[in-house]
Formats: sequence, C-alpha cells, structure tokens
Amino acid sequence: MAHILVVDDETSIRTVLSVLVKSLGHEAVMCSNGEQAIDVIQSDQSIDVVMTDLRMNEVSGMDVIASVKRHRPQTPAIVISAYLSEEKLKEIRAIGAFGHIAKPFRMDAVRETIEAALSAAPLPPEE
Amino acid sequence: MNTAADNIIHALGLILSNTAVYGSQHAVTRQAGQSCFRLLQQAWASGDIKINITEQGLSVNHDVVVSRSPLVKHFVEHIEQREITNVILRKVMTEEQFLAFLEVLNAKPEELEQLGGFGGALEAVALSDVVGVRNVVYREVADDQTVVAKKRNATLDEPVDNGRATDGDSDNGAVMREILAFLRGDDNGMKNETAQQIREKGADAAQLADLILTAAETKAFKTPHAADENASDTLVECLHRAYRAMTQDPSFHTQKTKKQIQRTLTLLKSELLQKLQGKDDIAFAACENAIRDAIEGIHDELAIDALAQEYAKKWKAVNSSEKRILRYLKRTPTETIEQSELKQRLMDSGLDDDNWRELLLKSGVSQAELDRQEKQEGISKAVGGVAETLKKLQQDIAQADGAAKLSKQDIRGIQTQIDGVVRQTEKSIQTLIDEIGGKPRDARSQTERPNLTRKRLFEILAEIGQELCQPLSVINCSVDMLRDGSLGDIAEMQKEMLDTAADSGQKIQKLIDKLIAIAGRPKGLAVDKSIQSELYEE
Repeated sequence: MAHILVVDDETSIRTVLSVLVKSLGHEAVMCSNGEQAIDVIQSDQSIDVVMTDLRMNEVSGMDVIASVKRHRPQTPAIVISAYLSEEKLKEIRAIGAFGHIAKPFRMDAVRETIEAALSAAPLPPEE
Repeated sequence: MNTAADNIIHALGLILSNTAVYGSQHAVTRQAGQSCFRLLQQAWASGDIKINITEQGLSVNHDVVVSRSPLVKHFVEHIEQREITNVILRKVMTEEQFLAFLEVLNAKPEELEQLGGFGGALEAVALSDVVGVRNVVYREVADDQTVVAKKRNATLDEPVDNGRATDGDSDNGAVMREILAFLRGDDNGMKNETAQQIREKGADAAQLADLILTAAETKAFKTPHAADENASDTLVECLHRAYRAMTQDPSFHTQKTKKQIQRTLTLLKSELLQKLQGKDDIAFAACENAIRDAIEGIHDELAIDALAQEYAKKWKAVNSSEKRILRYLKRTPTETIEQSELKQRLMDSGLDDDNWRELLLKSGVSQAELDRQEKQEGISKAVGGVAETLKKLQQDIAQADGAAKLSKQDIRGIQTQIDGVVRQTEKSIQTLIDEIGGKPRDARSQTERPNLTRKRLFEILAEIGQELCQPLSVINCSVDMLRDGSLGDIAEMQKEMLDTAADSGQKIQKLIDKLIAIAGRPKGLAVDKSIQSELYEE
C-alpha cells in the first residue's frame, strides 16, 4: 500500500481522488493548499507519490513540485491541471514533475499515471 | 575481510547514499545512522576517530581503508567534493550531535560554501567542539606571500578587505560575509549589491533560511548575552533585515513584486520552521512562534501597503475620470444631459442623484436648470409612488383573503382603485416618455450590451472553460468508478443510466474542447517566460 498526497483547493476534486486512490488500495493524504502540502512533504516521510493541482492561491503547484524535488527528489510528483500547451508541459517536466493528468480527467488516466509513478519510485536499497 | 576502518567508512557511505535517495528523515536512513553510531561508539573506546584522505588513500585512525565497495567510493567522492581532507570525530560526541553532523555532511557544496565551508557550517550548528575538520579558509595575504598550510576550522568572519583569498572563490566568500554581516546588523548601511544578493538568495527559500539562521546563530555566538536574553528577537531581527533587503527592489512598488515577496516569505517561514525543528539549541527551537508572528506581521504590512497603493491609484483614476466626465458634460447641451448615456451608466454603476447633481454643478450647469430637472424627477417619484400603491393594494388583498371573505362590493371597490392607479401610471409613464423624448428604459436596456473587448471576452471564456473542467472531472471520474464496479456491484439498469451519464460527460467535454480551442488557456496556465528561455538555451 502506497501513501499518496493529493493537493487541490477544490474540495470535490480532493474527494473524488481520495475515493479513487483508496479504491486502488492506497492511502490518500489530503491537502487543500500548497503551503499545507509543503509542510507534509517535509514532515511526512511515508509519502510515495505527490499529486498536485497547478493553479492554487499563494503557493502554486509549481512550488509544491519544487519542494518535492528539494526535500524528496526520488518521490514522483504528478501535476493535475486543465489542458496545457506543449511549452507548459515542458516547463513542468523541466522542474521535475513525473507526469501530467489533464482535467477533465477520467478514472483510467489517473489510475495509469499513479501506477506508473509507483513503479518508477525507487525501492529501498539492500544493505 | 573488512577491518574496523572499512566498516566505519562503509556505514558512513550507506548513510550518505540513503540520504541521497530517501532524504535524511527516511526510516532506512535513520536506521543506517543508528548502526553507524554504534560502530563509532566501539571505536571511541580507543580515543577520538580520525578520518584522513591523503595521497596514500583513505584512512581511519591511520588504518588504511582497503575496501573498494561502491559505498566507500561514494563516501570518498562525497567528502572530496566538499574539499574535506581531515575529520576528527571526538569521543564526547552524542548521538544527537552525530545526527547534526550528518546533516552538515549532507549539505550541498554550494550551501557549505555560503556558510564559509564545512568548518563554518559546523561552527554554525555548534559542533566545533565535537568535530575537528580541516578545509580551506579565506584570509588576508600579501601579494608576495605563498600560502601552503591549511587552517583548522575555518571561520565565517575573517577579514578579506584589501586582501586576497588563499583558496576558493574569494568574491563569493566576501559577498557571503557581507550578507551575513548585514543580516546580523553589524553594518547598519546596506550596499545595493548586498541587497541584490539577498533578493537573489530569496529565490531559494531554503538557502535564505540557512543564511538567516546562520546570521542569528553567529550573532548569538559573538555576543553570548544576546542568545541568553532572547534568541527569538535576534532571529526576528535577522529576518526583518532580509525583508528590508527585499523591499529595496526597484520594482517593489509593483503588485507583482509584492506578491512575489509574499510568496517568498510563505516559503521562507516553512523552511525556517522546518530547520528550527532540527536544532538542538533550546533557545532557537523556541523561536517558532516568533517567526510565525514576524512573518504574519510582514504579510499584514505588505497587504496594507498594497491596499494603500491601490487606494491612491484608484483615487487618481477617479480624479482623472471626473475631469474627463466634466469636459464631456460641458460639451453636451444642457437639455440632453439628462437623457445622456453617461448618466444612465453612472446611475447603473451606483451613482446617486446627489452625486449626479454635484457633477452637473461642477460642470457649470446652473442652479435654475437643476431646478427644472427637479420637476422631471418629481414625475419619476410619482411613478415610484404608484408602484408603491400597487404593492400596498396587493398586500391588503392578501390580508383580506387571509382574515375573512371579501364582499362583492369590496372587490369592486378594489378593482376600481386598481383601474385608477393603472390609468394614472400609464399617464405618468407616457408623460415621462414625452418629457425625455426617448425610448422607454426597458427598450433601451434590451439593445445595450457590456462593452467588452474581444481580448477580455476570450479571457473570460478561457476561465469558464477552465472552471468547467473541475466539476466535469468529478462527474467523469465518479461515473467511471461506479461503472467499473470499483465502488461496489451495480444493477444492469443502473449501468445503463451510468452509460448515458458517461456519454453526456463526453459531449460536454467536446464542448469544452471547442471552447478552449477558441478562447485559449487562462492566464495562470500560460508559459513562464523565464523557464522557457532557460529551456530553449539548453
């Protein structure tokens, strides 16, 4: 079972993603803003994947990804946002995002991206 | 067979490797740290542990490390990158101090450089007594002097003015010392260059947090009573100086820069609190509330500043608009002013009659003319009065229905009243139309549309497209999960309904696609020019 951090300022999006994550057999940790998410990223070492909205007040999804890359460089971060241009997609890749899910999203897209992120996350090294 | 020296280096290498992969707080990293500390405790039975890198290789207490495992190699590369050649772990070291030592050891080379090297960083976290280290140091030398020796435990504050650095990047070292001196308040004035450097560091909240903490700690170290009196005050002072540097930005007056500073402060708070949690020093660990209060205070200050600026801007805009309106009113014939589109717009925007009269007087309309207009207003009031009477009649009828059945005579009386009022109203309205000589208000409003520019219209459509994506995601995903059976079994009829819902979702999605194709994406999702330029440089 993986721990997946879901960051979105829209309650309904958080709810549906939480249900979906749980239906996949994982644990969902919810944050309603970027600041809260950065606190969790820094303090909760059990987070395996981060899923974040891009457009949020004050601390944006870009800031959340930057924090993941700084504090937990091996943790895959997935951006959830409306349609993005190729240039914007390059940007989010450049700052270290693992993948992107476009809104309005379907269940399969979310499921496949989470599975890909989890298989990309490194296993603990053998001592 | 591995020696004790091999085991210690292997254990240290494992910690570094795990930290790189999982972070310092991950369970596997902490476990590696605990195992290593137990090994060190065994070795400390014979005295301090000296780790050396020489041309002959790596040694622990003069025993050469023979293992060539990847972890040993990783350890060597790691400390070479940080220009460390000699470390002494003293046997008085506690496990907490060892963990703090690992944090310093894991710092990036550039972070250590900012803190004055590995020795400086150890000093900053008060580990100098338990860890000895040799690395490079900046100090003043004469042009003809050759420096061959290295000094133990570099300090942050050795003078470099008028001198030349012996090793490393002297310019950067000097700048860092200037920044720290400014943050500590050693230097009351602020050079533009120093302020600029601090602003640049602000782009990386973690780096700026390190600088503020180092400045606060070294200040406390330099003046011990300062730490005793109130460590939080020292830290907050350093934070305020960093903020002062941010306000020196030439573009500080713009809302964009202010918002950027607010964002930096939010991230800085998070970093400072995180770093304070890892501090052993009780005085500094107790600074959390002070940091929260200070940053909240700065946020308030920025918000008030932004409000004041916005107010001044709007006030100027109002003045400017009023001048233009007055010019327009002067040009407009008095008899048509009252029917002007301008009046209608102003009234729709909330201007009241008194404000309108004031405007007219300012524009030069005479009091006599205003009196004539009063008569027209009287007609309007009469119409309003009729409306009020109708309302009252309606209430009377409702009450009568509720209380007792009305007689035919009563009803006829009421009908007569209503007929009279309706005729009076029609007459009054017609009079009003004749007076103003224009179209009825309702007819006018039907032909009027908000004067939106094409660009603004597209911006609004783009926002609508974006907003529609949110609920549609929820609908699509929920329907998908239900159809899929992820949330439990469903009956055949329910499935049919869900299929229909899914089809409808697809149709809406196509409409949104079209909308976005026409209107584009909202501003917030536009590309970032600075990142783009970096991408294309690559």
